[in-house]
Amino acid sequence: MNITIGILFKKLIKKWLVIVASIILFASIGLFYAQVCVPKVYEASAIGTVNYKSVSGAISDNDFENMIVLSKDADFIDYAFAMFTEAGVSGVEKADIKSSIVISRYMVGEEPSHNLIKIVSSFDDPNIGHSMLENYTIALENYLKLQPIVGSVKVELSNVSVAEVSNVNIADKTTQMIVIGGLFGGVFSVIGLIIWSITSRKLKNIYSFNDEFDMQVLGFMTYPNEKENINVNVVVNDSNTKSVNADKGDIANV
Amino acid sequence: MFNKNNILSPEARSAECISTVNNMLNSLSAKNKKSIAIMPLSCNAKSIQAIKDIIAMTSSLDRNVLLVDVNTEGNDNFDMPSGKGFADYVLENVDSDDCISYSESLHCDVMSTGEINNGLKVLHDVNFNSRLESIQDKYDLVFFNVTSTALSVVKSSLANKIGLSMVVLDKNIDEKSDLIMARDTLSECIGLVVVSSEKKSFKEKLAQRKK
Repeated sequence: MNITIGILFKKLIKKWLVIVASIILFASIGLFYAQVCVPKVYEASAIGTVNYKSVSGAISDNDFENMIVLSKDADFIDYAFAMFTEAGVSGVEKADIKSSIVISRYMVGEEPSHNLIKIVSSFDDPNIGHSMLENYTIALENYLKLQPIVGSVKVELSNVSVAEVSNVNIADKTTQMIVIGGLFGGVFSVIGLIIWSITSRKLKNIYSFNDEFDMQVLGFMTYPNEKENINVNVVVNDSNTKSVNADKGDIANV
Repeated sequence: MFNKNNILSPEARSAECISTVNNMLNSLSAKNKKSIAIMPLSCNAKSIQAIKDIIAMTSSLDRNVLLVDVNTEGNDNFDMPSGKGFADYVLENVDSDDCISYSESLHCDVMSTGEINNGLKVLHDVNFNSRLESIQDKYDLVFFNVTSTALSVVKSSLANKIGLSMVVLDKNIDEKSDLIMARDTLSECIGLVVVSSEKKSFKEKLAQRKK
């Protein structure tokens, strides 16, 4: 068993394994980098607008022109914040709707009385969006300070699906980094092996004699690699016979 | 024509060996020389066997061949007879007939290193060149096996003094630095004989280990 493992180990230490191991190593580094170090990228085009069928109470459909951005994803919130700031929209602020988990930002127009609400959520589950909207009503009262609000603000989603926002590109980025890492590892290991073989002290490349050493090769002679065990009987004083193992080609000193 | 091929080893009868000998003889005739120093980079079994096969193959071509073992370390790799040899022939002016014997395994005449084992002294002896020429007159081809466990200046100098030289290297064992030294120190090297081992499959290695 040990012999088999030993041969397998020797067999495994091959150059191609170094290349494969290097590719896997660097691909793993690429995966780690993509997951941890690369900032998440959101696509602005995926942000949709939710229209509301009705806003009951004292606030009519035309009373608001605010945008509420709801998301659990702090990165997405930051992205949305930056997007609206770059767009030159004034009065962009943030507000905690419920807890540290749920963070919202809302945009208040120059005229707080504007009355169109747009909600963007990164939640895939529409039910979560609803619960956040319920919390939003509280925030709306407290934060916008739209006093007096008669009754509660009630909003209904007309089409939840459009609220889905993709924070994609992470998967693409991961694949990209794995591929880049793998390619880098492959190229790196191949170059390393080439340098290693060039600087190797052993004469492995028989075709380099003419070019590298400027010496003509008269011929190649190949011999079997087997070490054939043979018994050599060494007779000492005609009475003691000792048996020793020797390999073919070994030089004995008697 | 007497053909000794039937008593040569399979390796000596191989196409590789025949091709090597053919190239060597062509180089020798092109240089119009009758003697050559064979210089293995290291004293390993495969290189020695290759030298034996080359000499045996050459002698089988109806050539009157002499192998002179100019061994600087006293190792007997060619089953040479004990007694007077090359050093005695050069330093003591011993008659060549007293130093030469016939080797059954190599199928040619052989001259051992000799009782005086001092390569440096042999190299710098004033009679070296004359004794060398006189021994060459009796043979079609004289091989000087300049062997030691490592390449040395003495070894290269001996090869240069003999004239043409041929390097035998085992590409699995010998190192680049030795070949570079041989290239830089040998004045007239006709080329290399590259000795290698057959590659075995994984199954063959496994089967051999289990024996």
